[in-house]
Amino acid sequence: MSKSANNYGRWLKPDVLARLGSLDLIARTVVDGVTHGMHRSPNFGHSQDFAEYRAYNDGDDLRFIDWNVYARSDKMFIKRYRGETNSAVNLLLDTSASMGYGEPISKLDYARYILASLAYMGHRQKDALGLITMDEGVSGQIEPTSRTDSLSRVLGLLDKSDAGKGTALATTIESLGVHLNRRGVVVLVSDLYGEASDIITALQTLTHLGHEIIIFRVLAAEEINPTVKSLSTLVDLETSEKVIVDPEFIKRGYKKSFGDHTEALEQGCRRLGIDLVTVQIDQALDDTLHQYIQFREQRAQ
Amino acid sequence: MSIQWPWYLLGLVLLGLPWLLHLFSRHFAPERPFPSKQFLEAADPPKSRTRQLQYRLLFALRTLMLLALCVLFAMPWFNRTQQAGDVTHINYLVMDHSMSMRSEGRWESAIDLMNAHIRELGDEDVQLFTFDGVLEAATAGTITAPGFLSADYGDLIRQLDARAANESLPVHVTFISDVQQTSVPAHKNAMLYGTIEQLAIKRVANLDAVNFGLRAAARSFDGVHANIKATLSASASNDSSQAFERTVEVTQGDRVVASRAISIRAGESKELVLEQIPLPASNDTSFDVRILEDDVLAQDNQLQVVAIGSNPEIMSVIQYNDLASPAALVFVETALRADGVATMNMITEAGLSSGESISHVIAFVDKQDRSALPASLTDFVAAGGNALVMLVPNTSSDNNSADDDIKGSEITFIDPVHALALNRSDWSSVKVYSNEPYTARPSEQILLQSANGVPLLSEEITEGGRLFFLHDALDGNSSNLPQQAAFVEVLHSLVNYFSTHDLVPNVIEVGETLNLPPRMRLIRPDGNAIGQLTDSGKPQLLQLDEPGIYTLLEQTRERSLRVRLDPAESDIAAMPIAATDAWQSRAILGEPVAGDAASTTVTTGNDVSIRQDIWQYLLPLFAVLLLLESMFANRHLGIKRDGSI
Repeated sequence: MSKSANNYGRWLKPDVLARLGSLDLIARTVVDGVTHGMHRSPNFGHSQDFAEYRAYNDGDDLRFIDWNVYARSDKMFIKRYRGETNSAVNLLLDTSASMGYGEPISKLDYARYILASLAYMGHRQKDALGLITMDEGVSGQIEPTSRTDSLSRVLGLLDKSDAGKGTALATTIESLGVHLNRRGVVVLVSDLYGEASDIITALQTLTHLGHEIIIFRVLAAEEINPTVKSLSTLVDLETSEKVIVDPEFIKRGYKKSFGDHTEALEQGCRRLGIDLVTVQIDQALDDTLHQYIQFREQRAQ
Repeated sequence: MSIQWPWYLLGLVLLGLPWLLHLFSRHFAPERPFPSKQFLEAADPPKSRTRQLQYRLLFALRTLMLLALCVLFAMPWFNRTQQAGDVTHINYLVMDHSMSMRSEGRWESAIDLMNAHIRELGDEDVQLFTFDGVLEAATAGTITAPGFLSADYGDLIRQLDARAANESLPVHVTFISDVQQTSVPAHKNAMLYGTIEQLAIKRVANLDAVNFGLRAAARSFDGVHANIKATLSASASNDSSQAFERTVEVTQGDRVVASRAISIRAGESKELVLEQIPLPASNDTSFDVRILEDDVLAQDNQLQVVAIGSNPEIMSVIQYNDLASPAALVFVETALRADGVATMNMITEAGLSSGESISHVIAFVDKQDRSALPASLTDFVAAGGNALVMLVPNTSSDNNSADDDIKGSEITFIDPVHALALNRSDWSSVKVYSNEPYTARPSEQILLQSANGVPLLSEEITEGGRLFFLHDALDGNSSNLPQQAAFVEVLHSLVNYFSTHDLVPNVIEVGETLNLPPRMRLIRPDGNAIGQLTDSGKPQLLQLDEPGIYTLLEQTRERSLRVRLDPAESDIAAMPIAATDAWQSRAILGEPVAGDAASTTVTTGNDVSIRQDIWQYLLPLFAVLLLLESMFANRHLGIKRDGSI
C-alpha cells in the first residue's frame, strides 16, 4: 500500500463518516478521496482495451473474429477485451446478528460503508451492480444490472439492511450459485462466524462458477482481543445464550480458538484463490478501499 | 442516670451494616454482549461456589461478633427490661432527717444502711427522700446531714400516703430512722399507713447512749436582776435508770454568772431556777446557758436566752355594775403577772372617761349589754384604745343555767389565721359549759367556738382601737378556761397584741413558721437578713430552721426572737422494738445497728453512673472498629476472581 493512501486514512475514519448519514455521500467521499491525486486512474480494464487473442472455437461469436489477422495468417482468432471480463460486481452483505456488534459504529455499518463505496466505484466504471443481503438465508437481493439507477437501488437496500437474526453463512453462500449465474466479481463482507470448513466449501461453489471472490472480514477490536478482567457473563448476540467466562480463558483459550479459525479461513481462501482481507471497524475506510483496488489491479494483470 | 439507654439502638442498626457491605461487595459477573459464543467456553463453576461459601462464613462470623458485642453492651438495658417486666412495686427509701439523727454515730450508720440498701436493690429504682417534718426528694450523692427540725411519724405516714397515691404501682417504703419515741404522735392511729403497701424500718441507735437536753428562759421583774429557769431532761437509748451528775452554767460573755450542779436519771426532767443574776449595764441582756458535760447530742447542751419582761405592760381593769367575781379578778391578775408580762390596775368608769393615760382596758360588762356597750367604753375604743370585754351573765336574770352542758363542750373551732396565733395553744382541755345560743354581729369575727356553737372569743372590727370579747365570766362556772394554761397564753398574746401592734412572739421553736408582718425584718444569729422589705402590705411566712437569737428590726426599735430547739428531739429514747414491729405490720423486722458501724465501706451510686457513661462510648467505638476491619478485609482478601491467590 502506498504511503499516500495511509495519509488519506487520517480523514476517513469510519466514525467520522458515519456522521454524514447518507450512504451515497459516504461512498462518494470515500471514493473521491481515494482516487484524488493518484498517478494512475483506477478505471483500468474496462471499455475496449485489448486483453488477448484466443483461437476460434466452434460456437464462438463470428463478430469477435479478428479478420485482419485471418487475412495475414489465414487463421481465425477471437479478440478479447479487458472490460468485458469483470463487468458484473456482486456485493454480498452478511446481516446476521453478530454484525450488529461494535462501538462506536457496528460491524454492519462499516460493512455498508465498504459496499456503498465499492458500488459507487463500480458505478463510475459502468459495472453491473448487484447486492445480496443474508442472515439465516437471503434476506434481500438486487440482480446485477448496468442500468443508471443500479447504484441508487443498491444503496437503498444497503440503507434498509439491519442486523437480523442468527447466521447460516455457509449454507446461504452455497445456495447463491443459483442467483449468481453471471460470472463476475463477488465481494463478500462478513465476520465469517461459522465453521471454517463449511464456509470454505460454500465459497468453493462460487469459485467453480468462475467468480472472482474478495472477502472483507469485518471485525471489532474487542473480538480479536477481548478485554475481560473479571468473571463476566457474555451474551451471544445471535442466540442470546449467556456464557460465564474466566479472564484466564480469554487470555489463552479464546485467542487460540479464534486464531485457529482465522488460519483455517486464510488457508482455504488461499487454496481457492480468494482474497481474504481482514479489517477492523476502527480502521480507515480508504485503507480498505485501497486493498480492493489492489485486488482489482492484480486480477487485471 | 437512667440505665434505659437509647444508644444501644444504634448498635442494632450497625448490625445491618456488615450485611450491607457484603451485599454491595458481592461479585456479580457483569453481563455484556458478545458477537458469538463460537470461541467461548464457560468458566469453571466450582471455583466460584467455593469462594462464595467462604464469604458467607466470614459474613456470618462477623455478624455474630457484632451481635455479641451489641448484646454485651446492651446488657444493662436487657437487665432493666427484664426487671421492668417483673416490677410489681416502687421503692421509697426515707432517711430520718430530724435533729436526733445528729446524735453521735446515728447519721453515719444511716448512710451506711442507705448505701447497702441501694446496692441490695441493684439497678432497680430507689426513690430517696429525707424527712424532717416535710418529705423531700434527695439523691444519694448530695444528701446532707440532718438539721435541727423535728419529726412526727404521723406526718411522715400522711405525706407518704399522699405521694404513693399518685404512683402507678404499689409503694414499698424503707424508713431508716432512730425511731424516736417522742416522734410518735399523740394519736397513734396516724401512724397506720393505708396507701403504701409495705413499710420496713431500719433502726439506727446508739447503744447505751445518754443525752441531756436543756431549755431555759430568763425573766427580769425589776430591770436589775434576772431569774433564769433552766429545764434539764435526760434520756437514754436503753432502759438505764442510772443517776448522772450534771452542771448547768450561766455565762455572760466570758464571765460565769451562775452555776448549779444537779443529779438526774434517764427519763427525768428537772427544773432549776438561778435567781438574782445581775443584768449587765448594757442593753445586751442575753445569757449563755449550757451543760458542762458532753453527751451524744451536743446541739441541745447550750443555748442563749434573753432576759425579758423588765417593763411589764399596765392593763387597766374596770368592772361595770360590780359584775366581776373575786375569782375572776384573781384569775386575770394572776395570768397578767405571770412571767412579768403585765400588771393590773383597777380603774373606775370615771377614770376611763377622764382621759387619763390609759391604753388597754379589761372590762367586765353585763352580757345583756353586749349590743349596747357602756358609752365610756365605746368612746374609749373609738378614741383608739384597746379593750378586752369580759361578758358576764347577770345571775339575777340568767335562767339558762339549768340548761348548761354539764360535761362541757370542747373547743372545736380555732381561727388559724388570726394574728393572735391561737392555734399555738392547747385548747384540748378547755370545756365550755354554757349552751346559750349566740348570734354574732355582722362586724364580729368568732375566734374560738365550742362544739355546741357557743363562742368563747371574738373580735369586733372598729374604726378605732381593738375590741375583743371573752364570752366567759371567768368564775369557773361557764367554762374551765381560767384554770387552763391556754388562758394565760391568750391573755399574754392579747397584751402583746395591744402593746406592740404585732404578733411576733418572743420565742418560737425551730421549724415553726413565723408570720413576719410587713415593714419588719429578721436578722439571723449569724447577722444575715431573712426576707425582703416590701411595701405590699402582705406578711411574709418564714420557716426558721436553725436555733438561736434572731433580731426583729422594726422602723423605730429592735427586739429579740429566740428560736429554740424542740425539746422532744433531745429525747433519744427509741420506740420499743415491739412497737416498731407493730408499726411496720411485722412485715420486715428492723434490726438495730450499732452506732460504731460507721466505718463500713460503702459504694456510692456514682460509680454505677460512671460505668454506664463509659458503655455509651464503648459500644459505638467497638462497632465502628469492627466495621472498619470488615471493610479492610473485603478490600484485601487476596483471592482473585478466578479463585487463584
